[in-house]
Amino acid sequence: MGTVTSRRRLVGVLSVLLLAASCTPTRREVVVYTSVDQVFSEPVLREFEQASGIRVRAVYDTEEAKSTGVVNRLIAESENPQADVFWSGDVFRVLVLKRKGVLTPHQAPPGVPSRLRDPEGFWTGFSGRARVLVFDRDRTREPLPRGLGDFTAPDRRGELALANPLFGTTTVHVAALFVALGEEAGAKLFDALRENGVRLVASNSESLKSVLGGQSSFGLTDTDDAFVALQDGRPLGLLFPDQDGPGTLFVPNALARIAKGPNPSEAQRLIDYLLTPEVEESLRQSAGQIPTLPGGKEPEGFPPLSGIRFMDVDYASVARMVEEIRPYLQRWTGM
Amino acid sequence: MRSRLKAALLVAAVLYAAAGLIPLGWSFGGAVLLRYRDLFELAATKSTWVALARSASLGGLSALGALALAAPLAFLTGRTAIPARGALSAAALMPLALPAYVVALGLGPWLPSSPWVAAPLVMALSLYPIPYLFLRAGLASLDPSLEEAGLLARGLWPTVRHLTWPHLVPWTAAALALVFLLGLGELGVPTLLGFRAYSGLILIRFAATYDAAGATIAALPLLLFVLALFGIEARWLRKSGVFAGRLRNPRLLDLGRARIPAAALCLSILAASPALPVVAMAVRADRVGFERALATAGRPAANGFLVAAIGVVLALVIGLVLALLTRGGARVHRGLPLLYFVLPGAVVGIGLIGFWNQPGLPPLYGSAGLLALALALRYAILVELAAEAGLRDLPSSQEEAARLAGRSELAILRRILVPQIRRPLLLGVTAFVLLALRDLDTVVTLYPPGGETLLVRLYTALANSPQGFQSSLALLQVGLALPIAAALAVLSRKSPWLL
Repeated sequence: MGTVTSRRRLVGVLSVLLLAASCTPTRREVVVYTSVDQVFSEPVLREFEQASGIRVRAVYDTEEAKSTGVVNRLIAESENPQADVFWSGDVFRVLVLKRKGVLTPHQAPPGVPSRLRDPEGFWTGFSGRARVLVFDRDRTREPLPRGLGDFTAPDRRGELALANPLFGTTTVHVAALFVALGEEAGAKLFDALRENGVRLVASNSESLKSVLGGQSSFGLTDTDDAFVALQDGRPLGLLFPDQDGPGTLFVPNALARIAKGPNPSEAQRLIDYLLTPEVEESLRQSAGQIPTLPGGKEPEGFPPLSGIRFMDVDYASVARMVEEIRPYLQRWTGM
Repeated sequence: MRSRLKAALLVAAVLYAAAGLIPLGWSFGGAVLLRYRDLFELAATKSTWVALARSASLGGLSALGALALAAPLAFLTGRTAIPARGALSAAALMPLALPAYVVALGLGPWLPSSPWVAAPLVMALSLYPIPYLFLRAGLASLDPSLEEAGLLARGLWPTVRHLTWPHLVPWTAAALALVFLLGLGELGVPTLLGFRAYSGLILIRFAATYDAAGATIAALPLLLFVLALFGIEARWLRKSGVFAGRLRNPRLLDLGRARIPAAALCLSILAASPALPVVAMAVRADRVGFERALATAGRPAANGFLVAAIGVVLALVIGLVLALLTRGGARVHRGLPLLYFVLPGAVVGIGLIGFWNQPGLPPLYGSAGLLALALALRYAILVELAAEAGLRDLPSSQEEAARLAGRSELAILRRILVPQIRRPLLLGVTAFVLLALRDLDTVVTLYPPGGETLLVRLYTALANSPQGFQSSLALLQVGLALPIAAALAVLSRKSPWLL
């Protein structure tokens, strides 16, 4: 009797555990992979859950594999997709996925500016970040640099911290400069930066920490990193680089639908939700992101954006350049 | 052991071997077949060798650092009558509750700026319980009568030189090799502290090229390195008899006046880890961050325990199967469980993804089940060792009597053997849960959508979350693992086995 009872108990425990681990939920759901920092993206996804009743299952990227961990996972899963939506922190990784046939077109609401829509409907851009130079206001003296080129001067030797350009928005920034300046001039600029002792760090947030910790005088980073530091009351100054040259790079978020994703209608619902002024406002408040839909306000704590000249970017050209300059960047970083 | 049960156990053991080897062979074999030319290119690249040398240095320095911390602690708590010996012994296992990168996070502001010092230091502070356990076991496995005879006949130093030290060599070597291999494959700490290790190079190549086959090829040198060292380790362990002996209660030395400074030395090591990182995080945590961490940590914590629970069931089955085969006289090579243990988690993860994420296979990929399987493969060796140690102490006459009475093999197993090895099994399971909860590499690679664990939540929170929130999450992670580490300490205190 005891044997039968304990056997049943064992079978019961095993069944519950295996069921809990692998059962298919009956509730409507959508699977989203995102390279937007979890601290910013998760509240938005939770709001969508509450508003729609659709359960969101998310995979978030990690800081050091920024914008690339989930991209690799999406590519690896392309024969048997698990995700429905990719919410990317930039357009360029989405273009990589488009080229690899991982995506399928989706419908974007009419309010989205045309420069933030893929003509074939594979991605839609919204709300974004700018690339900025940050410095410690208490320690830095005039004159301030105007752009990256200034850090090739001998008197600014070793002053700049730069995130590894094989990752994240720094790759995109380098590629955009190569497109804007031409490949030869771009390579010349970065060779000169390396010669002048640029400090290579793991990520944009490390670049910021390097400035706040006094290891570097200036750091190149994204506005969301700077925004968080400003919210924490850190004595951070920021300037929009290259106003006299190609302009400051603006990096919008991008949404894409995964081909053969398991929940297509829920995926469209999520995309529609994310492309609303309310979500842009939420990201503006939490991450200092710059809205792109008509009527959006500027993030607080930054210099007025109306006077800022942003780089005129052809996303497809920059995406191609990201691929082309990879061998150069591997040599440049020694990796 | 009757042939039917033995056959069933062998089938189970083959399934266990296949569960890891087929996915690894599938991924690595496929990549090598497709891209074998890349291997030559990789071998011809200077940065490959530089990064491998750096990783080897990290592993070596971590091992030496961990040994430097563990040796005085093990000797003083294991062989001398210092004050609060029991509490100090228990506290020495507490760093197991702190994942290495949580130690790095906690000690962040005080760490030396050079990654060459900071990364091995953090690894040593996190991993010293491993050599501590090995050395304690080594000290306790020495026959006290032999030692006393040596002391009487030859005095202290000749006894230490000719008896104690030779006895401790295999234990020390095994511990050093284990920490070295764990340091070699570590990803989180080198990445966080800017140490350019080979694991980071693989990640960079994987991330920068979106080329899984290329990344798999890039992982091969590390794999070969691990395999070579693991071969030496497995051979050494088999020859040296580490894990095989029963531990005893050695005579404690009276240090006289030196007992207080000795206890202070132990306390200072324990202050560096686990106390200092935990206190630092507690200081940095604020109320807002803690409330937010509490509000968001529930689901990830539950996910972690669910995965660990499924993993425990699988590891128990694997551990028992292998231990019973050994008891039945089968020559079970410990190499495979040890190999799964020392392989970097990301390598195991990539292999499992490559195999299981295919149309037509059961939907294991994308569920917590695959992650649990990966953890069971990696850490089943702990349950196996515990089960083997427990079974070794049971006389075979009990089984023979039960067989004569007509009991089935399954009934003997369930009614006689398992109930008597509950304690070592519990010890193995506790160690399994502890390591599963602190494993970042495997979990980050394999966690299913919506199934992040608390450790992953903390890892993703490093990007742009307020420091108070990060520290609060880290404290919650440690708070969850500490009772398990305490249980391990209590269970191992009266244990006559290594674990």
